[in-house]
Amino acid sequence: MSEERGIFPPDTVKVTTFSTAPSPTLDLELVERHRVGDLQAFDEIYARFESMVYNLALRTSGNAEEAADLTQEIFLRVYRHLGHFEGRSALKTWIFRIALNHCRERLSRFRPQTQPIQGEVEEGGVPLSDPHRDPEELAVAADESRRVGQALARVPAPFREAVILRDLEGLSYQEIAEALRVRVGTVRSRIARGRDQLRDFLEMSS
Amino acid sequence: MTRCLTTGELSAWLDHEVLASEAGRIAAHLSSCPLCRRELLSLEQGMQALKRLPRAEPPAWLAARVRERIAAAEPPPPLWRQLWEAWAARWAQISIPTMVPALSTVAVVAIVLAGCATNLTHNLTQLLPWRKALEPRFNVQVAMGEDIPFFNAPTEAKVAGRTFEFNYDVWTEKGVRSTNADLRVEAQSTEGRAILASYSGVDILLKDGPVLLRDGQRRTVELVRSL
Repeated sequence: MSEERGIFPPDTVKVTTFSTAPSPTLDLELVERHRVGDLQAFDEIYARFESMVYNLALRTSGNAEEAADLTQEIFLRVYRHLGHFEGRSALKTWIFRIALNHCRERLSRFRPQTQPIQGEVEEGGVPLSDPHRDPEELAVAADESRRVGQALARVPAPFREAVILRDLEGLSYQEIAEALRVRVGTVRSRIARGRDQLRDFLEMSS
Repeated sequence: MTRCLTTGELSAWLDHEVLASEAGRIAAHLSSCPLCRRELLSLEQGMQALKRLPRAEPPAWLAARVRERIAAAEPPPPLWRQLWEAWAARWAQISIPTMVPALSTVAVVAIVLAGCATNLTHNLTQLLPWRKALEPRFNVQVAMGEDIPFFNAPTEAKVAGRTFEFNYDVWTEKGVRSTNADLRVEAQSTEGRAILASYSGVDILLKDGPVLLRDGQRRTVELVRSL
């Protein structure tokens, strides 16, 4: 592929001006541009959804290295199939569905069904720095994050996925139902059970 | 006082996802039931703890790696297209009036040559006893379904007597459980090359994605294309 093709912005500079808010018109416009060979269209899609996909992969796998691998594979799949996106759901939901399917498939093949229980979950990526907090506060916050991350990893996958999509990614029940291909009532029940179990695990660890 | 609220109702209440018909009853119950208020609070605390988890920043090299993988996954343009583009670039530098007689000559010669070549090839393949050697060594039949990953399209390929099914992005040999890969092998590794040599034709499937197969030692192997 020649340099001017540019799947992503050069030097991988993050473009933070894109919104992941559902916008059917923008979604279809981007996909149409991709179909007719506009090389910047995929750049925009990548910039909009990179963080979302990476964080989902991280929360699902519990491992930064694996999350990076998963993110690459998910976007490869998105690139291959983007031409077939028909706009029956929001692009964001469609990408979430691909990401979840891929994480499930890949992790079920290479990892045991159970998630790590204690001391194995690592926070991935570059931590967000906070100049207003002293080192002690940051250490406490890191401990708390680790504790919550470990508790989340213990929640069974179907409930964990629903809770992640709701509480970490901010999807509506309807969007989660589309991403998981289940009914809204099932989403409601999975979120409730996930939160219930998360609370129990948090109480046990405190 | 009405019955106490379920975790489902409390959880949906926190998300503002209760039906309008339920909202009045839930609000009224919460205002009069300290047990349910405590339950709501503890659910909310768990939810808030989750929301406070920092979002991880993807590594800076990730975008470049995705770009490389997409480039590697894309097949190079076919030879005819490369030749055509090379010719087009060359002809573009020549002025149109000088091109007309040359183009006409080339067109006439190409038509005559194409006619001769077609006849010759047909006669040769009919006459030569070893023409079977010209036929492909294996036959690949692929029945494509709807090419959208999450619809789990019914896609199947028959390669050298073995049947593979395309599940998401993975070609899985019929009878092999996709959840149990004993080992993962890169196609360009020594072991990968040995597998490809033993299972002629599988390399075609690799262009679409990893291939799960059962090898001679009855192990389930995931064969992946090298980057």
